[in-house]
Amino acid sequence: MPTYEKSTASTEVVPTVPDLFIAFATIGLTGFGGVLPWTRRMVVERRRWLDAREFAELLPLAQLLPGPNVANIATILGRRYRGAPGSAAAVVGLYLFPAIVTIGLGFAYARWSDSSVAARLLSGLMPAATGLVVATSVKLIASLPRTWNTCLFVALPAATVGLLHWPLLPVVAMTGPIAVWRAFRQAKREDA
Amino acid sequence: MIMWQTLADLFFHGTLWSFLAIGGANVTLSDIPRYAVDTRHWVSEAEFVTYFSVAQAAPGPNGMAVVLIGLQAAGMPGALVSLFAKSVPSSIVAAPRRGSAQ
Repeated sequence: MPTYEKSTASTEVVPTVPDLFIAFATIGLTGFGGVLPWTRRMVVERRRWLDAREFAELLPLAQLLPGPNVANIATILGRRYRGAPGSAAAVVGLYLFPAIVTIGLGFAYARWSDSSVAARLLSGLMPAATGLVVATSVKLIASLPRTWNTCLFVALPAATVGLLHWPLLPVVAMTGPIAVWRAFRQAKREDA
Repeated sequence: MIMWQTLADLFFHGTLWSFLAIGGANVTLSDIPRYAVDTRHWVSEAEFVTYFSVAQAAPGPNGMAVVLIGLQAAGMPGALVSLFAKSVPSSIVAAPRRGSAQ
């Protein structure tokens, strides 16, 4: 069984299926406005399943794979320690309680959306939630290299998806490969 | 009959959004209202912003707004189908990877 092929760099603890469930359920319940920092805290600092370097190596893989990042981390770690049952326990743990809370909030909204308390609560929440997205976008743009290539491939999806309301799938399918190809060509030119 | 079509639609687009969320759930923030508001009229523009804000404020992973859209489009089955589409197909794709720690 390849399930137990685990790095010896971190501690020898191999989490059980309930361990995986509890850890990711805790992450799901505590992660407000995004669960990634909480995942790192739980997996690296509290449970010591991975050391900082292993987590830093795992994260880009989870980001590159399709699907929500933390769900991918849950899947990969669950699989690594306990195979398919481990993956299932971690992913179900991550989504179970947030789903119950979210669906409960949905029913609450349907029931009380006309009340003035709900209206005030939401009018406060909406700009804050929007502000978080703007902050993330600004941070990402600031971290990009300042080249014409970057400008082009930031502006292209922003204009087509954001302003022209084109569907996301064809835009990603078109710009993604072209942007990667240009980045490769750029690297080749710099090597030469 | 119409209910099944809505559920299939929620599943298909929920899976699509989950797969396109490379790097984070915010990637799909423009495509979800385009489809759920403009094409399908499952929710209004204002409701979408509300659901997005509620999902951000609630504990748990971002992108739970699709569950609320599913809830409004097709009731509890819609919410469950959206949740399933968001989490399960992409996890099956990620499952063969053990990460790079070897």
